[in-house]
Amino acid sequence: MNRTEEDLLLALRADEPGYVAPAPVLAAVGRLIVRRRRRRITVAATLGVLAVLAALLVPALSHKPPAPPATPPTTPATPTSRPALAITVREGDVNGTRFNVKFLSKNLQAFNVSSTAPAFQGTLMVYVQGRPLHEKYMPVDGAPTVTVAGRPAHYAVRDVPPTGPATHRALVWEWAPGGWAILEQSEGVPQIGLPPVLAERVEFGPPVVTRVPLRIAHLPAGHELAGVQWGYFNVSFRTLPTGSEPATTVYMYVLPTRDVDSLTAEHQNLTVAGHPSKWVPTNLSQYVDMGQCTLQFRTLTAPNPPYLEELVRGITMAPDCVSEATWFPATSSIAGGN
Amino acid sequence: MTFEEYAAARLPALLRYATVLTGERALAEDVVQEVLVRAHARWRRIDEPESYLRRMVVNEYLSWRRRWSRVVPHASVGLPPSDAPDHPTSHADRDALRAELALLPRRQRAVIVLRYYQGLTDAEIADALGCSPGTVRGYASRALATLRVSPRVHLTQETR
Repeated sequence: MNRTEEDLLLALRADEPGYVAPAPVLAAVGRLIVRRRRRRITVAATLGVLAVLAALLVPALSHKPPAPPATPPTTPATPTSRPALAITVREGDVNGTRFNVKFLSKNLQAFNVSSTAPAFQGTLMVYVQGRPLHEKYMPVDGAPTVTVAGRPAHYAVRDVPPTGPATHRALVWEWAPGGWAILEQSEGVPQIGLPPVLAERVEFGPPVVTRVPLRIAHLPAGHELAGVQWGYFNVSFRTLPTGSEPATTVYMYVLPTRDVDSLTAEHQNLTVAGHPSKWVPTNLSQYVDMGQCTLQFRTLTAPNPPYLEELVRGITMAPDCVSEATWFPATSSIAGGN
Repeated sequence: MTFEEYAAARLPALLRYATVLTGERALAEDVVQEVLVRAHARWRRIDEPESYLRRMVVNEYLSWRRRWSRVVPHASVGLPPSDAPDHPTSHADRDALRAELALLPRRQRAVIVLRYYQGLTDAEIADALGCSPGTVRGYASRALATLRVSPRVHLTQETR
């Protein structure tokens, strides 16, 4: 029998239902969301009770100094006032535009940005003062001149579509003297232009501490924290060896163990700091089973690199590592996060 | 776009895709339902929902099949009658091919669906499955051999 790829495609398309009934699925999704939300609230309430008990048992905990008065939200924060894992850009909804933290390091705050009016999907990057602007975001000849909140701004990253006029994917301005902010539209999203009103919705305020699903007591000698990224089901940490050449970057992801289960191809069973671990050479990754969540270390060239045992020994997972309600404050929980 | 707007607009397409991937409408609905519930909890952190959810569907299908296979004998997993329009030729062979597709190991089937139905490159499939492009090619090669499908000569990795 000589079957062709066309036969295969037709067979697959034959499995494609001509009619689907989304309503029952949507209704079931709604019911499950409510049920799981109730479960999370129960867990959070239990933790709240434990926190109150702890405060009663340890009087010192209840004598915290009063919080400082809130600074007006549009006041730019100075570089020294922001710990590496805190944000000074207002998160959440600002006049119909949503800002959600995506990546933090001592030099950069990055946020996912989405808006319906005007329609926009992309990233906001806010650099500390004194960091030079990357060549990619230099002004483009012939682009219109604009201002953002009265400050000079420019367009960058020109796109030339097959038909129609050239557009620009990025809007760049100084949020403070010597501090660059960049609003960049996602690749693959139809270009709509970048009205300065979007950039004017970026508001600054006092540092707000972010949360992470684990504590890292210390980093191995010769490494420093390069940044934390909030992803789909992972939070990644990068450490950079400071005393060796060439420098290599270590990526660590926190994943729900149930998701990792399906990714295990050919592997070698190991143990790291008393935890079961799998080395998967095809992924260039080593997975360390921490119970509900698993740590994935990429991109390795061999299993059990020297730093791994020391790093994992100092890690404590949040009580429920897939529920943000139980996560730890990043600045005090991640070595180097302050 | 809010989660509700996205789900209302894209759910039919996701269900069609999941049905082709799993070969079973009921399983596809379960997989998509679970994926949407989990995506809802993370919605504000999702950059590109379309590709992300399709990737979630694949991974959910792979792990789901593993759990499912503990309690249901593999041979009893049947194919639903097709809703696609009839074609005058090759009907019997196509049904045979569909039955053989349903018997493929789950990762091989996922690779075949992603490559031929979704039109992804081997690198994109590797990214979705968390393995190397070489591994993807290995799965595809074994699946095509099992199905007795002759790959076109010009469809090399370089041109895909």
